[in-house]
Amino acid sequence: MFKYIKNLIKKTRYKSLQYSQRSSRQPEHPHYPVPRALKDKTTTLGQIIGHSPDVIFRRFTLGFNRQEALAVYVDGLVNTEYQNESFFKPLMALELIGTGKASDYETIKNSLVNLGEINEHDCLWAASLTALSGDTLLLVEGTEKVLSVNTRGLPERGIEEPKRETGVRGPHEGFVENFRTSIAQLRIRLKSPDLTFETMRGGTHTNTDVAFCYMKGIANPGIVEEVKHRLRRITHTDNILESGNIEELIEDNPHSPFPQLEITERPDKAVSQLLEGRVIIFTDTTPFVLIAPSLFWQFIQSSDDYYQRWMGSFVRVIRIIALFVALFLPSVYVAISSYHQEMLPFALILSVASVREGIPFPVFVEAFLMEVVFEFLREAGIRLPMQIGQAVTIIGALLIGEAAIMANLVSPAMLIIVASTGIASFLIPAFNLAITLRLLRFGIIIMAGLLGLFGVMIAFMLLLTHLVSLRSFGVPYMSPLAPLNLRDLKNVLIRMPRWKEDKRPHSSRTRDTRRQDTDLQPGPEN
Amino acid sequence: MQTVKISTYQAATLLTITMLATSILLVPSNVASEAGRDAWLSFILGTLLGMLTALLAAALAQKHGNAGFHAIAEKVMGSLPGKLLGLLYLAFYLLLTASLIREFASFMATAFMPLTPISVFVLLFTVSCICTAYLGLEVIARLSEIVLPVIVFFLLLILFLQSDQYELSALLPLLRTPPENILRGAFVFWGWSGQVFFLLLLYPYLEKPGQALKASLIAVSIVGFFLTAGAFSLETVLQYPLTERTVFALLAFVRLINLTGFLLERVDAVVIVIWVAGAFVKASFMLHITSISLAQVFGVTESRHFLLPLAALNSALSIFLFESSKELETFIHFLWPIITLFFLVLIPFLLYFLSFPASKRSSAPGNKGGGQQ
Amino acid sequence: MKTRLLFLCLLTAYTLLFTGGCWDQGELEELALVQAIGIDYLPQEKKFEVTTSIIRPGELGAGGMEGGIEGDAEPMRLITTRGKTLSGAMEQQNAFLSRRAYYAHNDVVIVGEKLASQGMHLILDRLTRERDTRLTLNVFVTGDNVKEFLRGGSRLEISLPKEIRQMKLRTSQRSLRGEANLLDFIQNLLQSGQDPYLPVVEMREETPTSPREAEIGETGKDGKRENEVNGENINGEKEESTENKVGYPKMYGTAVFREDRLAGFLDGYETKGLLYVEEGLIDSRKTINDPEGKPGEIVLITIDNSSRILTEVVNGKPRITVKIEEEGDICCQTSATNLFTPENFRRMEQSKEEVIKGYVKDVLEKTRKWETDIFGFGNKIKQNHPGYWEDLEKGEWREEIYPKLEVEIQVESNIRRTGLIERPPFYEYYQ
Repeated sequence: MFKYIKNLIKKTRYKSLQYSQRSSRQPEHPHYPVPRALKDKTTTLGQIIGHSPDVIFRRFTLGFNRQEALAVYVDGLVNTEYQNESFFKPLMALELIGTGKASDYETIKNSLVNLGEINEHDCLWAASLTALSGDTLLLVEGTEKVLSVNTRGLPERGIEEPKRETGVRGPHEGFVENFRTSIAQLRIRLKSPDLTFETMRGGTHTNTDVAFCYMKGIANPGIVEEVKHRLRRITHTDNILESGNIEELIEDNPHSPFPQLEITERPDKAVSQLLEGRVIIFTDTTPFVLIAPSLFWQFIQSSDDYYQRWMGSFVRVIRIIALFVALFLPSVYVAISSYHQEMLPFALILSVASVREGIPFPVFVEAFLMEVVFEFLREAGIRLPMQIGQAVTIIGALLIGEAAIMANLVSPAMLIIVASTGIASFLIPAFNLAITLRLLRFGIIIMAGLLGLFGVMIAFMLLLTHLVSLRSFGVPYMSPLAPLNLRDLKNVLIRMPRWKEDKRPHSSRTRDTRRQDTDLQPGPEN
Repeated sequence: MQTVKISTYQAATLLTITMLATSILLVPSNVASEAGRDAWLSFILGTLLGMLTALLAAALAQKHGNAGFHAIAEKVMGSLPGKLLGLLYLAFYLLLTASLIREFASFMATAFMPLTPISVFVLLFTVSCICTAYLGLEVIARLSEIVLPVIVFFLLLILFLQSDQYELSALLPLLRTPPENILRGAFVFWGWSGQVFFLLLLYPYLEKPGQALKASLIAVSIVGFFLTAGAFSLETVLQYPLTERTVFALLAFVRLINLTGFLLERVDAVVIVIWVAGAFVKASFMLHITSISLAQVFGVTESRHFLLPLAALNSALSIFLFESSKELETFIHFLWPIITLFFLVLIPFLLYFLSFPASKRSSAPGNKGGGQQ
Repeated sequence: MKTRLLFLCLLTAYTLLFTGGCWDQGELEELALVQAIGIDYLPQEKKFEVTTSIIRPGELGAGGMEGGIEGDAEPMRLITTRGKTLSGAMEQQNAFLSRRAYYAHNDVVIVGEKLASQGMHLILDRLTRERDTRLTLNVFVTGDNVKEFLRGGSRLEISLPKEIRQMKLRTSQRSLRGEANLLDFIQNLLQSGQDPYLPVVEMREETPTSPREAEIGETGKDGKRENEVNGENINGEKEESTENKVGYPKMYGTAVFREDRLAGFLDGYETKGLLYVEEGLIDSRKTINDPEGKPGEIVLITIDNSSRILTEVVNGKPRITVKIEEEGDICCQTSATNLFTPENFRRMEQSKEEVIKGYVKDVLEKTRKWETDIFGFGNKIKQNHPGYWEDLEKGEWREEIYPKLEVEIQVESNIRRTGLIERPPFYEYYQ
């Protein structure tokens, strides 16, 4: 256990922002050069891709000369109409001079110009990868290249409001699984040529497209480099199914319970983070994008705050209170009931003492039990279908609570406290932080049960120490509170009005700090 | 060991917490028992003395190019005597940390959880502080940045909540206590305000060493303000004979807060927050300093290895050095100022004096102190 | 190997730490919440008698007026024990308790007359040293038997201790009793030149089934408390049956201490004199005669009150001037005069001033007899003329100077408002 602690402490050390010397490997793929003869091409490709029922090897003839060609594609991933109209029809109507000549190939290539994305491959493996993404491969005799044409018609979910990041005001769009569409959603909102993307493939078997983007000129190049190299380092892992896989592999402090990368499903949030100088990481097949670097205070901000005038400040203050309530309320109750009864105000002592009459468990056990039951209910509510899930959670909580009180197993005060804690933790917009809080709450309740308020304070100080020692991509996690940066603080506790936001925050170490003019305050004289 | 840099603000908060954390609870009653009604004057004098100490520390560091204390000692006195001095200081740090841990545990046990054995508090507290000290000075500095505003806020809140109870006439008759008592009280407080000396140990880590003096003066004034305000409010609310007889003055003060209408009746928990947070930061800082000094004296690069043995040593010392709370009290009241004076003022002064070359020392007219020959 | 040893050591340490038992852990249902303590002293046996009033947990929250006679609240239980010291007596209580006696929420301490006469220092140490008692405790002196007092019932509140506590808390601006808690008492005690005082409670016996009024008569010049009406109903007939009587608390008057020993009692009206000087007396009503001499009276009520004590030392002799400022309203008029002429106003104000001066003079007289300086004149002299004060010998102020002290009382009072009506519309009936 000591070694574990020692390693835990070691891991939270500061990592430099320097260019990392790690190798930036891409997944290693075998290289299959393209044979000249069509027959050989077919056989080799058949060996690589296999003959699944949905991989179609379609022979057809090109041009008047009836030259043989092979199209390979995956049914289900292609848009068949489009393919027919723009791929097969023009090809079949092609005029070719002879057979097997290099110039023929050029003609073919040119004729497909109206299809948009065309790639040439001299490796069959790479070509097959594109076929598996929805391209159609064109194999012709007499050339050592394979053409792949974008005919993608992937099954897609429509654009919906993200369920976990709803807000009162603001667009109701969320990212989708197809990252091209997501990127398009981003582009709509950020029509700037400075928006730079870099892509790579992650996962040796999943070959998931991973892209990250940043605003050139605003984002700190050091951070961009660091992101790039961390992403490159992990690409040869087995699979990347969700951005969560990436998150776990690139964060600074993997042993910390606190998240160091923010997740979002909303394009408008992504855009605002980009404009503060952060880097957004898209992962194909998932709508959740990562934001790097992310600091603690971002997890209690939501994009909604920025669209209303004063609500942002008010809600933020409430959220900070909710943060403390969610973390400490049950523990403080346990500590005071068990160890420091003299701190109960006179008016409360009689009511609190009376509700605890006849309860068989000590307060600590009661609190722990109730919290566990609440967690059960919460998890259950997530798994159930949408319509009845909410109802079951609420009704279950009420009924179980009532029954428990009537059976004199728990006190109503405890129920109130657990319910308030639950509600308070729902106030945190970032659910990854909320999960952390739920976890930590148990630890703090235990400390409270052992040593009263002293235990709570020690737990709090240790927590604070841990928070203060974290870094996210090199930036201290608790900025701007510690190290203190007064300019940035105006967005932490409250939300300064829009016309006051004339500089970008220092927390993203951006180079271009000027955001807007300083005299934008509206008024009759302006 | 990577270089760690702390900003001026962080240095100021760190020093403030070092001086404020334990003194706010223990010192007023000690000073009041010396100076009586005019304790507030003692505190003002003590603050001025602390500022002089800060000036001395800054002057000493600047004379030697912003080096740390032990480096200066070795430079001025030579390598071996410097190391011996370092060892002496090590004993001092151990005494300081051990008494700090004991004060902490003693307060928690006496005021809130009397049946719990002291060793529980001592062990848990020390182990937690070691975890923090392990993470380095940067983390401690950032921690102090967060903790100090919280402490300040609660102290101001406490002072404000009692505002209807202040009876200024309780301060009369003014200045009836003989001056030597007031000076003795100031002397007691100097034991704490002199801890601004730790600025000298921070010098190698400062981003802008030129601002160190400003930071330390601000730190001393903040501490002085709160302690004077504390003494003032104690005199006017709790009033004279009681102040010197209550051991934990801040706690007695807080217990008087009784705004029943607002349910602000028994807000003792505030004192727990202030005390634990402040003592935690201070103890982590002290442990870190001890390990750094050990490393410097023995020429070891990685100071972290010392932390666990230091924890064990400090825990043991804190328990067996003081047999009862009375011993601790007497120590704080009488012995501590002398020890502090020696280590935090006299020796730096001596070093400062010795850092002038010999010829300058004997021939320069305005030089203070006795001759060397 | 080394790491394993380390691991073992740490495991042991953690185990000891966390399973050794949580020494201070308690539960709320383990506590016997003591709501009131009555302390008395038995001079023959030289023992303290402590009576605690503990709340029965079963009665909490369920609205405890069930069981027992109507008007006789039963949620409290009393335990009386004796011991050589206060702490000793309190320890004896444990023999009767199924829970740990918990004094932290005890806000009421009733001190018997005998103990107060012996000296309060006997109990003060315990009350300040232990961490469960706070300095904001309310301490009362009673002339009754403390044990019997705590057996009493409560009129409006659920339990007797709560009633007493609320009486002190909620009626703190009323004018019939001294205002002091433990902190004030100790501060006054420790200041040389000031003597402490405490409010007084006592028991009034009444039959609970018939509605009774609490009656207090006018005080006579000698301020005896026996002037109050006891056990007589409105028509002046004596009560027949004395069984089934329940005592209800009455908070009236001040107990004056000479240093820490009881010197005497002031009744409600004399307490006004004290309170006028100590400030904070509002809602006090005074009766004055009609300014034009017609039959009937005017009753005035105090709205605001402040006072200053000025000291002078002239030729080695101290002189005190007490300046009282007071503002009032007309509360009731039973005479036919038109009060609203400047002349009448002035006359009323003067009458008022005389009345207030009278109160203060009464108190002065009494306290001089007892040689107690509860106004704190000595303290003021000490603050303003420290040289003179230090030359005095111990006890000289109290015994020699105070009784002969020149005290000039200056009252400046104004009448500001007159309520909702001006001239009484029914004045002709007053003739």
